[in-house]
Parts: sequence; C-alpha cells; structure tokens
Amino acid sequence: MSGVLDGRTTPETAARSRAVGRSEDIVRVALIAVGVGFLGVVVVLPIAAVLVEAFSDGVPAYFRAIAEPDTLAALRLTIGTAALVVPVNVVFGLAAGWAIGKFDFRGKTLLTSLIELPFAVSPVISGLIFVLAIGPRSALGGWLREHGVRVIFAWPGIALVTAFVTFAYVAREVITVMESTGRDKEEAAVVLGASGWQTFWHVTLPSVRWGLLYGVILCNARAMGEFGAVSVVSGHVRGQTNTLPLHVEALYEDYRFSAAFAVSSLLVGLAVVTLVAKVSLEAKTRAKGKVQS
Amino acid sequence: MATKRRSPIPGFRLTLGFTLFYLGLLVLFPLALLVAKSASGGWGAFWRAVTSPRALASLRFTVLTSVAAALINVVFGFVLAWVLARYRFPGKRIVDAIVDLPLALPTAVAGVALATVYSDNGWVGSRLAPLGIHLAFAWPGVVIALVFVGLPFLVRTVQPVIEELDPAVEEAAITLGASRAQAFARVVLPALAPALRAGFAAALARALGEYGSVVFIAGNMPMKTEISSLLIMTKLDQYDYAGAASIGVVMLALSLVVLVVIHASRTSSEKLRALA
Amino acid sequence: MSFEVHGLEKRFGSYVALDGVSLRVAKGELVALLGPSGCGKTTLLRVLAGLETADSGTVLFDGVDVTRTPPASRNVGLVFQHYALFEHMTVFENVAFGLRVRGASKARVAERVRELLAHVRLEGFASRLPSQLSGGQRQRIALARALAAEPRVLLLDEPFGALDARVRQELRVWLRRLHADAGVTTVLVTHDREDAFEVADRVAVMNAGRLEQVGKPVDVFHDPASAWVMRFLGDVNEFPVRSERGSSVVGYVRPHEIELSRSGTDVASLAAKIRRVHSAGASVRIEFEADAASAPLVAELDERTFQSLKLSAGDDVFLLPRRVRVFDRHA
Repeated sequence: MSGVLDGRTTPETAARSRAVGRSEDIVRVALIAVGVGFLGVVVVLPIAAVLVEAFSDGVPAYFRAIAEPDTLAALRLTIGTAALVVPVNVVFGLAAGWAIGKFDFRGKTLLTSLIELPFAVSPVISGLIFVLAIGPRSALGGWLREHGVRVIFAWPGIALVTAFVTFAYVAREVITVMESTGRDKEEAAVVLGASGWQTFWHVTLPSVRWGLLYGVILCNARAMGEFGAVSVVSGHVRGQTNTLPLHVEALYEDYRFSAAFAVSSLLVGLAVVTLVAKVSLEAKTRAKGKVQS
Repeated sequence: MATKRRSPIPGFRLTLGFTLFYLGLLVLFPLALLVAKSASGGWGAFWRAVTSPRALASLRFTVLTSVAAALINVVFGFVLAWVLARYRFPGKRIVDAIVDLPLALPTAVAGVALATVYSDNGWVGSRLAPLGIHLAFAWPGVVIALVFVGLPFLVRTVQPVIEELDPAVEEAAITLGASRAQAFARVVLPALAPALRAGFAAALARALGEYGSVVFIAGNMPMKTEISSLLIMTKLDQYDYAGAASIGVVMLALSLVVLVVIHASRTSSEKLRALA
Repeated sequence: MSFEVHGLEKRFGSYVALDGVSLRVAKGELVALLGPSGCGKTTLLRVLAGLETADSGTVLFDGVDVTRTPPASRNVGLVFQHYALFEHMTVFENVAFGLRVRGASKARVAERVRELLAHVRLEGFASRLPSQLSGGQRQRIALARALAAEPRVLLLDEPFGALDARVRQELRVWLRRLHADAGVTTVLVTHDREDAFEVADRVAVMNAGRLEQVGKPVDVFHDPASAWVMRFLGDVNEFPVRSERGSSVVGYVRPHEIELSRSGTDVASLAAKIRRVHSAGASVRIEFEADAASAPLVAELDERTFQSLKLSAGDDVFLLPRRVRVFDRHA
C-alpha cells in the first residue's frame, strides 16, 4: 500500500495513507520482533549456551573431553550405527518407491500409510516394542541368548531401533518423487531395449537423486541423534553401548557439564551441517522446478 | 495386493516383496507384540496398570503440558510463519533455516541445553529465581521443552498456506470497507484455520511422545512432573514389561488419534485450497 | 517390416479402449490413427509397443506372433506424446541409450548418433541437456532416439500435439521427408485430421475403440464410411432428403459442395435466407436459415463466385447441393 495511488492524490488522502503506512510499519516491525525474538529465546539461546559452556573450562579441556576413550567409542558406535542403518533404509526406500511409484495395485494407500506409521510412534515406545519383541523375557530373545547372541542392551538392538525410528525418512521422499515423475521415462527406456536393472540404474535413480539425498540427510541426522529409543535398548555401558547422545546424558549426570557440552557441540555441528545441506538441496530442487516449468 | 494389469516395467514382485518383508519384520511385528503384551495379563491387569494413580498423574501431566505447549506454538508459531511468509527483512533466510533446528538437533542436546539456560543457576533461570519464578524442574520447564520441539511443526504447516493465500483477498476486503483488523479476522484467519489446526495437532502429537528434551529439565518427580514416556522407562527398569506395554498402548492410541485428526484437517484444508 | 493385429480387445474397468480392432500395415507404409481423445488410439499404439497387453487378440510382426513379447525385445521405436526425454542425460546420451543398452561398441554408438543428429539437423546440440531445447528440437531428439537402434516399426504418439501451428507445419513436411528417406514402417496417432491427411499414406479413423474406416486420405475424406466419420472429418450440413425408396432420411453435404443461385431452377434446390456472411478468409462462409432444415446451414464459396452473385445478409437464395451423402447407420 503506497501513499500515491494515482495523479489525483490530494494532500488529505496522502496524509491519511501515510498514517496507514506508518501504523502498518509498526505492526510489521512488532511482528518480526515477536517472531524472531521468540525463536531466539526458545531455540537460539539454548544452542548458544551449549557452544559457550562447551568452552567454559578452556579450549584444551574441550579437546580433552572429545579425545576421551569413552567419547571416541561413542562416536564410533554412532557413526557405525548410521553407516549400517542408512544404507538399509535407502534400499528399502528405493524398493518401496519403485513398487508404489511405478505400479498400480490394490492396498497402495494402506501400504503408504503403514510405511509412515513409525513417525507416529514415540521414541520410548519404539524402544519398548523391541524390548518386548527380542528382550531377555521374550521367547525370541531367550532363544537368541541361548545361542549366545545379544541383541537388546547391545549394538544390534541399537541398530534395530535406529532402523525403526528412521524407517520412513528415505522412503517418504523417494515415493513422493517417483510418483510425481510418472512412468513415461521408464517405459521409454524399456521400449528402447533396456533391462529392468538398466532402466533403474540409468533412468530412474538419476531422476530421484535429489529426493534420495534429501531423505538420506534427514535419515542420517535422526540415526545419529536418536536418544529416547536407543536409551531403552542400550545397556548404557560406557565405551561400549553408549551412542553420542547417551554419552552426553552420562557426562551430564556425572556433573561433568563442560565435557557434556563439548560432546553436545559435535551433535550441534551435525545439526547445522544437516540444515545447510537441506536448505541448499531445497534451493536446488526449486531452481530445477523453475527451469522445467 | 495384485497388479490390475501386467506392467511393462519389471521388478514389481521383487520390490513389493522386499517392502512388505521389511515393513512386516521391523514395524508391524514388533507393534503387534506391543498390543499383545499389554493384553497378556488380561483386561483387569491392563486397566490396573493404566489407572494406577502414578500412571494417571503422568498421563494427565503429559497431556496438559503438551496441549499448553502446542497452544503457545499456535500463537508464536503463527506469528513466525506470517513474518516469514509475508515480510522481507535482513537475515530472513537464516531465521527460516533456524526454524528447522529443533528437528535436526538431537533431543538429548536440546534437553541439556534447555536445562542449562532455564535452571535456577542458568543464563535465564538465575535472573528469574530471585523473583520466585522457577522454570526448570517444574511444569513450565517441561512446557518450554515441548514448545522447542513442536515449533517447526507449526511453522512448516502454516507457512506454505500463508504463502499461497492471495493478498488480493485481503485487499478486496479492504476495498469493500473492512478495516485491516476486520479483514484479518474475517478473511485471513478463517482461511488459515485448517492449517493452524493441523499444525496444532502435529505439534501436539510430537509433544505427547517427547522424551529426550524433557527429562533433563522436568525434575521427574513421580505424581508431579513425571511424563508418561519416563514412566514407561521406569517400569522397564523394574522389569514390569506388561505395565510398560499397557501405558505404551495408551500413548500410542493417543498419538494415533491426534494424527488421524491431522489427516482429517489436512484433507479439508487441501479441499479449501483446491476450491480457491 | 509389415505388421497386423487381429481382434484386439482391451478394457480398463468399465471403459472399453479397444473393441475388436484388426488392422494390417504393409512394409514401409505410414499409417495415421485418427480419432478423438479417448477413442483408444493411444492404447492401440501402446499394445503395438508392448507397453499394454490386450485382453484378447493377436499382434503379428512380419507374420510372427509377438503378442506376449516384452517391449524390450520387440525393437520398436516409440516417440511419446511428451517425448519422455531423459532430463539428466545430454542429447548425445539420450540418442545413444538404445544402442548402449544393447551393448553397441563405443565407435558404433558415436558414429550412429552423429548420423542421426545430422538427420534431424541438430548436429551442434550433442552436449546440450533436454531442458535447453525448444519444443520442436525436443521432438526431433525424441525421434532420433527412437530411430537409433533401427527399429522395425516407428510409433509416434501425437507427434505434433504440443507444438505451435508454424512448427507443426514444418515438422509435418520434415517427417514426411524423413519417412521417405528411412522407409521405416510408421504409425502415428493424432486427433488432428490435417496431421493425418497431410502426412499419412493411409488413415485409420477410430471411434470408441473401433476402427470406423481405413483408407487413403482422399478416399476417407470424399467417401466417408459413416455419418460419424463425415462429421469428424469436417463441417457438414444435415437436412432431410427423400431416399430412392421414397422415405425421409438425413442427407449430409459439405459446405464447399453447395452451389447458390438467385432463382430456384432445379428441383433439388432449397430455399434459404442468408443470415451472415464471413468474407475475411481464403473462402467466403455464408450462414443460412432454411425452413427445410432445423439447424442453420453453411456454404463455402470462392471469392470470385461470391462477388459475381452480389450476395448480402437478408437475401433470399436457393441452395443446390452438388453432392448429398446418405448413410444407413447414424452414429
């Protein structure tokens, strides 16, 4: 709303619209202040606190905390879990995307809903269901223990619950992209003589690569950062079954705050890297959409 | 699940087979066991576990703090979504990215961070404690944590709807003689109501099951500031698996109900947009 | 390659896409499947490519039954309506795809792609991405890609559908020449009768899953097999006439097959009043009201005849149909 609408603006109306403009400016500035201020207090301030407190005992103490054997063990477990779980969920996501995106069959909507079901299950319940399924008191868990396999309170359990909580991250993105790209390109490839595998590898996979990467980034962030679900099935053995988030908790409960924050800062770094990757991917797919439309 | 017609594209059986196998093994089988376990002691045992004073207190506390946090997010998340959708200001792209931070940040880190800032000797808490305001280890701390984790759900549900809302509709209302406030209340708000409801439900669903960001700031006193997720954890530590499963089923049912509401309001808001 | 289809039937739920279609196409022929949208012509094309399987009926390529042969083994070239170019591959890679998946040598691929790009006159575009091409260029790349592996039959789905009128006209001429050079048996699907008549050796007119008429463009246009084909192929006047047996039937007359005169000399002439004259065009269109016909009638005259008759709106004239068609079956 500018003050000048046409050449016949009288001083009177100009003054009035200036007044309107001023009150709108005030509203705008106030709303921006409230929104951004709220975000600052609730989100930015606590994260700033982590980074500041991480160095409260000095830079050497920060690096000592990170180089501790228990921290390094937790880092290894966290990266190892993600390295196992993310590829498995990628394979699943691509399979689900192919089946749902490229074919018509009865029960497709139901299947899509079931795939998203783990999003509705809270972290502690995610852990709980695996304790019930393969924990020490379950039939399956008892059988496994007799054969010397520890799943719950050991890394396989951690990998299982992590796979559960990150189940749909890749699948959701890949299904969406594969549905939206349709079947023309695959049909064209098949008519040109390509085998199923050639079609998937040379035609379909490149066309979903950004959606796939987006899903992988979110899946990885959750896999590395999951706390509640992993907490239920981990034996909380330091240096063995503690992931990075669990190690943060252990340090915090020992009142080793600056060490806890030093380890936390690693996870903040993960979150920031995730967000930067996410934003740049979103910008990329948006730009691509513009070129094509 | 069978194809209606043979497709020229190969791989249907293989991919659908693997999808169903993985889904069944990792998701459906364990979830079915949860329901079975909660019923293993019979209806009486289930009812006793769920209606014990401690369980009821935790459920009440969880629901009340979650609703409070979701309502706070409806107000401030709406403002933030509006600002991001309608205004240009320096640093907007960074602000927009930061909104997603609670989703990307591990909840344990959020928990220790919030506890540090809002506890009585923390950055903010230490300034409020002399005034007799104690946030951490009491319900306000829990609400703050739930606001933290729920905020992106609200903003990301409402923001795209505001962006799609044609400003000409507001201007039309004003040319018809409405004041700015009237145009907002009568034209803008009703158009955004379905998205606000959906955002509220999404934030609520997340809050009901939240664990990591809450346990560090809640104090976790039974009957007072104990959330249901923590009670499940405690019961597991005591090897009361049936009790844990019973509360788990109730929590799962609660969040499913909320998600069904999300779905319902999402489809109605999509219908509205399709009409517009 | 010649091909034939026999008694093809295909349903999607309650929708009948193909209702007993039989057609034979000779080696090197260019046949247009012409019909309104939803008539089943694209389904027929997809059955030929192997992308759909007919519920019943057979497909023979050079007399060999390929009804159950998967698309990858049929060696047909198919140009999709929206081209279905691989957006992440360069023009070169798109054209090379069919050769590479068949394991052609690098040198052979390079040579064949160069040859094809020269053929479609896009030599300098090998390293471009499809998104950097215009609609007509994308179309030609889709054609080059379909032709790369020397298909036994070339199938084109609405090849001119997404292009503007001028590019469309150029491409028709170009496609005709390409077909003359390559000599590959070609089937093109279109809803536009000008596309079909201008490009095809023979036209197969389809309606509601059936072939209404198959023949040379000139025969189909001048001797439509049914009232439906008559109406589909152009403007037509309908009015009651007496049949040879004396009963009243509907006569069909094209606007350009009507003569006008000021006086009713012939017994077959029809009194009418001019309602409107549209003279801004290659020919003059005149609209009439006649007591004998319920709907307004239209005639087309050339400019000179129109001038010599000195006609204007409101005049009473007599119409003399030079050719009246009568059909047993009324669609």
